[in-house]
Amino acid sequence: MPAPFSTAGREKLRARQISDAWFFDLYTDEGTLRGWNQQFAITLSGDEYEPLGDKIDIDVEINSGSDLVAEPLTIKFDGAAKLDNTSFVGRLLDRTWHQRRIRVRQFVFDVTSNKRSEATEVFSWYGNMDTLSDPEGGSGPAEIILNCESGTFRALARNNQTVTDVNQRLRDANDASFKNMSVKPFQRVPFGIGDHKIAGL
Amino acid sequence: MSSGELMLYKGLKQFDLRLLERQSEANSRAGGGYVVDQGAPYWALTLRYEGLNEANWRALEGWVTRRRKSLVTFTAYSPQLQKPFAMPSADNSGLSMSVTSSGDVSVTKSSLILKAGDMLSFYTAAGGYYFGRALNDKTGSGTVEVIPKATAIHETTPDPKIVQALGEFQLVGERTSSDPYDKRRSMSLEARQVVRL
Repeated sequence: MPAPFSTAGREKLRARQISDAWFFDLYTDEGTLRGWNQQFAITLSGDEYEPLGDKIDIDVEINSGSDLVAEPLTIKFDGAAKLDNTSFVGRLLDRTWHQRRIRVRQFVFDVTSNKRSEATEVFSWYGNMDTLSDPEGGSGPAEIILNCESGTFRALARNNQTVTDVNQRLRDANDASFKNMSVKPFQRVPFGIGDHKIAGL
Repeated sequence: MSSGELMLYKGLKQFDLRLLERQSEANSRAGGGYVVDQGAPYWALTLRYEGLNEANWRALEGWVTRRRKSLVTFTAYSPQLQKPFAMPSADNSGLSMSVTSSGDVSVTKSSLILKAGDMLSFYTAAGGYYFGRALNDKTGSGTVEVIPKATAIHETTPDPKIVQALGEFQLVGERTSSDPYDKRRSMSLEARQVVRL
C-alpha cells in the first residue's frame, strides 16, 4: 500500500519539473546493502547509499493498491560484475537474501540541485526478496533479475510434506513438537504417552 | 575492459558529440508539460571517416578490430573543442582540479579563462574518466559549473585536462563502411560514454 504523500512531496510533484531517484535497502542476514540509481554516493537519514547508476533498474512497473493481494516488484541488476565479490551485486549473491526484507523508495529533489538537496520521499515499497534468476548467453545483456513480493498478507503455497522430528529439528533445533511423530503410515499419533510405550519406536 | 587507447583522427570528417539527457518526455504543452529528470546525462558520439588512403584504412580497421565491438573501450577528445575558446595557446601544465559538494569542478590555473562550452576532464577515483562541459564563463581560478556533474577525482593520478579533454567510450551498434573499387573508403561508427562507478 502506498503511504500518503507528505505536503512537501505533493508540492514537489505539482511543480511538473521533477528530479527523482530510487533508493534500495536490501536487508540480508550479513548486513544491509544500500544503493541508489545515481552516480555518486549520498547519505540519507544517516545511511550511506552506494552509487549504482545504470547497474540497478526497476523492471516494468510497480503496482500498489489497498487490496489484499501480493504486489510484485522486479529489480534488474547489471550482471557483469556478479563474480566480483566487492561489487554490489556480487555481495548480494554471496549473502543470505531469500525471504529477507527489501525496501524501495522514491525521493524527489530540488530540480536545480542535481539530486543533492531537499530530498522528499514520495513513494515507498516494502517486501521480501523472493526469487533470483541469472539468465546468461544469447544476445541479450547480462542481468541478475530479483523478484520480490509484498502485500498485506503473503500466501504460502501448500507444503505437502510429512513432518518428522528430524526435519522439524532442521527448522528449529529446540522444537520437540514432532518428537513422538510416527514415521510409519496408518499409525496413530500418540500424545501424552511415554516413549517406551510407542510401538515401533 | 579498457585499453585507454586513443581513437584515430586521420581521415576523420565528422565528430558529432552530443549529451543525451535521461528524462521522461513531456507529452503536453500545458504548463511546460510533466518532465521527470531521472539520471545524469551521458555523452554519445558519431564518428565518420572518409577518403582514407591505404595506410589510414588499414590502421583504422586494426583499431576497430581491437575494440572487439563494445568489449574494449577507448578514449577520445573533441577535435573541434581541443582548447578553451579564450585560451588558444594553453596547455595542461600547472592545472589542478577538485570536485565540490555540488558536483561542480574547482579549477586552478594561472590566467584561466573558460567559456561556456569548453570541455574539461580528469581521471576518476573509480578508474574512469570524467568528461564534462563548462556551463558558464569563468575567469580566474575557481569553481566552474559543469554538466554532467562530476564524480570523485583520483587522489594520486588525477590527470586534469582543459586541453584535449578526454572521455572514455565504447562502440555500440554495427559499423557501416564502404570499400569500393575506386578506394574511396569510408566508415561510420557509433559510440557512447562509459562511466565507471
